[in-house]
Amino acid sequence: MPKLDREGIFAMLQEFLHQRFDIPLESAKPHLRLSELGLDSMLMLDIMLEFEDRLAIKLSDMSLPRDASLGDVAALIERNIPTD
Amino acid sequence: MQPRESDVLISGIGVISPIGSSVAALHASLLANRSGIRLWQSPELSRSLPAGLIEEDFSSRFSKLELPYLDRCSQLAMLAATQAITDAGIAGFAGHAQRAGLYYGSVAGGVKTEHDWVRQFHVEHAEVSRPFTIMASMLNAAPALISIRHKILGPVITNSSACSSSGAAIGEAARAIRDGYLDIAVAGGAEAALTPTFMALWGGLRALAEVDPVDVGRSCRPFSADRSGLVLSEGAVFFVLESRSHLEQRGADCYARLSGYGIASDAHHIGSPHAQGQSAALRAALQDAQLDPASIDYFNAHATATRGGDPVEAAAIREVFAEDTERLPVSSTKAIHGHLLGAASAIELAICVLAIADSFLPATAHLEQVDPECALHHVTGQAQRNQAVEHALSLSAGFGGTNVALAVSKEHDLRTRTLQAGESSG
Repeated sequence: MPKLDREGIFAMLQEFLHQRFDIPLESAKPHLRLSELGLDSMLMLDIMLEFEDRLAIKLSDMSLPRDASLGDVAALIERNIPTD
Repeated sequence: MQPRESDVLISGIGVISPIGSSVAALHASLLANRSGIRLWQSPELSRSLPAGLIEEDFSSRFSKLELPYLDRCSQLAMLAATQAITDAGIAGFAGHAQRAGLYYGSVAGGVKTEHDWVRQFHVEHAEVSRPFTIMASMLNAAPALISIRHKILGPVITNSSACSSSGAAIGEAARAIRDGYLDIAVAGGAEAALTPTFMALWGGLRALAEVDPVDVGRSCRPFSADRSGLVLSEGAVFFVLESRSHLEQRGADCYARLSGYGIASDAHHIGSPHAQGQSAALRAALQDAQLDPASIDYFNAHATATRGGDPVEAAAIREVFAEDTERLPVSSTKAIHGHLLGAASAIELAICVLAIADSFLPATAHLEQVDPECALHHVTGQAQRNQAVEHALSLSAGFGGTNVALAVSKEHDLRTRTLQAGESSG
């Protein structure tokens, strides 16, 4: 299990995107918009549910900004991880 | 008949079927009367069945970003529709705004996706599905995805009337063009329901054919005294239909003219067909095409090879064609492609179009001893070549009692396609 800081979460996100959708690891950069990668809200939701399963967490706050980037998704996961 | 601007021409065909996944391959299979019926088995069912399986996994034709939304049914539909649109030489429909439509027929839609989810629910105790499962399983998933890919901005309509679904879709599309609502339409149907649950669901009806002990390819025997039932198949067939004036403007060529559409309901029984509804649909199609029975050169029958269904259709044909019955060449090509359910009318219309374009009569395979209750002028053995077909008629009869007849006629005023017999067997 990677470290659960922003970097570790982003590495997991890259891995999921690669496994599920053939998105090359090196092209999934934090600034990239989901729309630029062809990811719609349902496909992204599926990825977030994968985080729930893998990290045994519950995403209670699933709000993303309009035209979100991969970095925004990583931030969403991070803020849902319990701190204690 | 004098050409009219609103005549509906068939300018593109796309085929994904057990007897070929292109117009040329379908044509070659019909000429050779080559069966696409194969052995179907599942670890979940003790009974093996004959089925019109397409032994290709088409998922590699789509990106992983598309696949979550694409049940196999939608994959077949997308491929056949794209083939038809390319065949017609059309790059996209955005410029047509609401003057282009899509009319689709299917019985079970994304049934594999749906049944997989039911298993997850009951067996794996999943409490929610994946986010896209609802989209992938819905009946109108395929036409939605086709409309998105090809920018079809007018009516996108799904018909479901069991085995006549795609016939109703094609007929209604033709009417919309002829009545001036549309210039062009993509119309057809798709089915990919060869899942254990769906096969077992049909098994309950006791109407599925047994596997022929000698040759599984001979398991579907319409009109035959020794027929044992219907054979379920998968596939998708689409057409591009357009008005004469639109086709002329484009300077494109066509296969044939869709000359008549008849639709009539039995209003009798949900699962037992009635000759009256079938003959009403046939008469309506003839009237619509302004043809009399004597002018039909080929009849592609619905005949699924069930005990109950085939004699009812034979009676309907005799009723409509009267003394012409003895002359009218009839065949049921389901003997080699099986029952494509939501794509059944569409593949059988495509076969009528090919019969006209290449002047041949498709045969009913494996018909050695005709059931006396199904006495008609059957085309048996091999396809008969060099037989001019000016007008052909096809009938589809669905559970629920919706019957559709489609008439197709040779086009004499516009440039038509020339088919090269046997140009491909793939």
